[in-house]
Amino acid sequence: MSSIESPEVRESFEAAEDRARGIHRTMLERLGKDEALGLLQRMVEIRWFEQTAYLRYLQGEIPGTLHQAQGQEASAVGVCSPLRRSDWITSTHRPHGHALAKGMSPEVALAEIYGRESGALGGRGGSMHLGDPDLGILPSIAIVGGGITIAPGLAYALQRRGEGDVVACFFGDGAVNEGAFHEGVNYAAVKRLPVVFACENNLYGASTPFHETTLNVDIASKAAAYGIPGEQVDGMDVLAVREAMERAVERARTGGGPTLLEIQTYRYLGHSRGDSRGYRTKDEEAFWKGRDPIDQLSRVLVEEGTATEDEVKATVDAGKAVIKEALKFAQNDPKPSPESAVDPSVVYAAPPRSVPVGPVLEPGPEERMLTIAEALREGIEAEMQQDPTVTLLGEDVGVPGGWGGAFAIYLGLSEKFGRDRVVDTPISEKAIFGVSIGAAIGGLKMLPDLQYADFVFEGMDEIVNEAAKLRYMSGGRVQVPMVLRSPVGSSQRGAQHSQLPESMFLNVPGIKVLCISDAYTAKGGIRAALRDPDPVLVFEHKLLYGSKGRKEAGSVDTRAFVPEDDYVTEVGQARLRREGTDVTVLATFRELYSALAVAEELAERGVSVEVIDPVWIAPFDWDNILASVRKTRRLVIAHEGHLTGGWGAEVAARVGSELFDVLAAPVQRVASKDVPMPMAPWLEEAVLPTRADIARAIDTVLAGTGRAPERKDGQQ
Amino acid sequence: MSEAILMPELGQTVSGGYIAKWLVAEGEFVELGAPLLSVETDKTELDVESVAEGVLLKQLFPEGAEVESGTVIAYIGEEGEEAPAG
Repeated sequence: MSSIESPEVRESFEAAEDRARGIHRTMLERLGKDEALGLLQRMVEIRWFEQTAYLRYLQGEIPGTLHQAQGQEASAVGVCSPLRRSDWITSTHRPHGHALAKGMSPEVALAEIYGRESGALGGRGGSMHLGDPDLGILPSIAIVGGGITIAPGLAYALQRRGEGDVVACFFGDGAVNEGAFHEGVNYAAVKRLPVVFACENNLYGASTPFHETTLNVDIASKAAAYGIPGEQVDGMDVLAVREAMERAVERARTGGGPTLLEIQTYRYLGHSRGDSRGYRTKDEEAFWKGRDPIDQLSRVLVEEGTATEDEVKATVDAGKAVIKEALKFAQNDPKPSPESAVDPSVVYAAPPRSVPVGPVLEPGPEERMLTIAEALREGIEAEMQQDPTVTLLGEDVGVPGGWGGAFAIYLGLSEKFGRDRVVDTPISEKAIFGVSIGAAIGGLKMLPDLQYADFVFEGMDEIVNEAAKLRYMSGGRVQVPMVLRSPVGSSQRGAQHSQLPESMFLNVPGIKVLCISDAYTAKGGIRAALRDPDPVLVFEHKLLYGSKGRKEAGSVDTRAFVPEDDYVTEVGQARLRREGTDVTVLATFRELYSALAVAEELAERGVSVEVIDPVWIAPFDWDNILASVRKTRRLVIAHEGHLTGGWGAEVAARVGSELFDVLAAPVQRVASKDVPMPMAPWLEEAVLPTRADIARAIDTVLAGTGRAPERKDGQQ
Repeated sequence: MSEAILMPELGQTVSGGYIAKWLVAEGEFVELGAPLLSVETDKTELDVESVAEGVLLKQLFPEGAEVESGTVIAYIGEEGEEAPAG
């Protein structure tokens, strides 16, 4: 091993110093005194902001948690200073420096950390979620790697706008080991999107040394895996970071695609509160503090004759004064009202509202009796025609001679609208969702596609942590108009291609859920979803599509009259499928058709069954459904999703609680048994709810006992 | 306006500590983040950094005193300013 005294090592150090000096001279000449002092002041502001926040936090003034970046100022300022206001950044759980460097006022940032009304998000975000869409700062994402799939989406929207704007995506060394890094960087690379991936390598993921987590610690070299340039930069030298960033930005602005910058830096403090840094040596900390970015620039400015010592000192004092004022502001700013925490308009751009129940479907001429597949295509095509921002994204959706999507819904669309709007993606669900979210925030109406709903779990972070939360985390300032279509349901494909995940999303405020069970709703509903400003998950049953030439065992004819005109259905509106007075049956997908058939049979026995398709699981049409149960006093709920924790459970709980005095019988639920779905049809049958189950449940509520009555004809 | 300086929380399991040494004398100027005093607990000894910048107007406890977290231990303010009474 060569020691630091060896001639080879000394030579390489000297060469590096020479190179750095060359960069300093070129950069200072180009920047001039004012801009160079501006970089210094911004770094001082960030350092003092961090110090002030840290010390006030220890004094108990600041609630929550705090992740700080003292020592990393040159990265934040070097990356953000070449950006325009219309460029965007995405950041992490350690965002203070990034936000300040991109132009957020220290007052607004500190007030947010204090949880105050004038804070960037009105106290909803705190230290981990600083953002301001007007300044191109996405609310920072506190899930490690979370921003790496979203940045390419923002970049895609900016690229479509055609003004040369770019995205800088900050993340730490730890994020490089996340799947999001692979999917996001690969996506940006293959689509040549204007992103600069700014990896702040501070050597530790929380307390774990980076070298214990991967055999290739050369992060910049990972760029080769994606066919893009990668570069290591001295992250303690703001001029070096700025110089590398300028080249990466230029490349992105001119269509050259993304760059991976590895910015080698160090955080002086622990990962968060309670981290006493026992995992690092004092020598290591002293080495990095000896290369302090503020001291370095101060020294270089004087050495190179760019500014005098007095000018440097005045700049440092000015930076400190800014933060002193910001502190006073934050301390005196009022707390937000408790109502602001639950304001629905901060959760949804279009909050749920009351609508009349959708009427029974009308008959029409044979040539307008369409399948769900045909009606979906017609609805999507009409929206794409009318709104040039509607963009379809998915696997196998537009390849010429390809499938037009797994269920052929999109056949012909790429020929008509071009592959810029019918975008084929790698098999990267996290990237598909992340890109859709980013592009939606950037102004496009995104229509990501999943071949099977089971794959939604690949991108649960993007849906649950990002799509559902970003509006709230932005204080209601961004919207995420994204419509994710995916086929659900058993069809002899086994445990991983049969699930119905719609109920899981009931537990996720911020998401809307549309379940399409008929062709009329397919066209009007997909159009409503595409016009809605919030994220909508659309679930369709494979056996209800009625795709021509793909008739499968167990499929149901769901054709309905679909008017040619531009009708759009209401978000959150249930549909009355059959009017009745004795019992209400709520059902979706195949169970809806079973319920309609049972209702028909029972009518012959003089029993009047009301059948309602809730259509929207979220927002749920409580008004109309509670009104129906008030009328019939009996409720049966039937769905293919599992019994336990299915949406029927939520409805049963609420109806039981709110209509206890009205109900003539306990609510009955019919659903799949709580086991994974088997493949063989004779096993599948044993798990799925049947028509007989629905008939029995209706008999039970009619008897009013909570137990199925014995039938006189001996049937069960 | 002078600023009250509190004894910080010193860890998850201790509720206060002993003032081992004042590192800034009354009347001296202290920078934001500079060490103000060292504190001892049964677990550790550490320097407490100054949360404010200015002149240390008054130390409210002598060295050796045991002080609960959250107690006001000093005032920092402008040159010539009086610390609040009590």
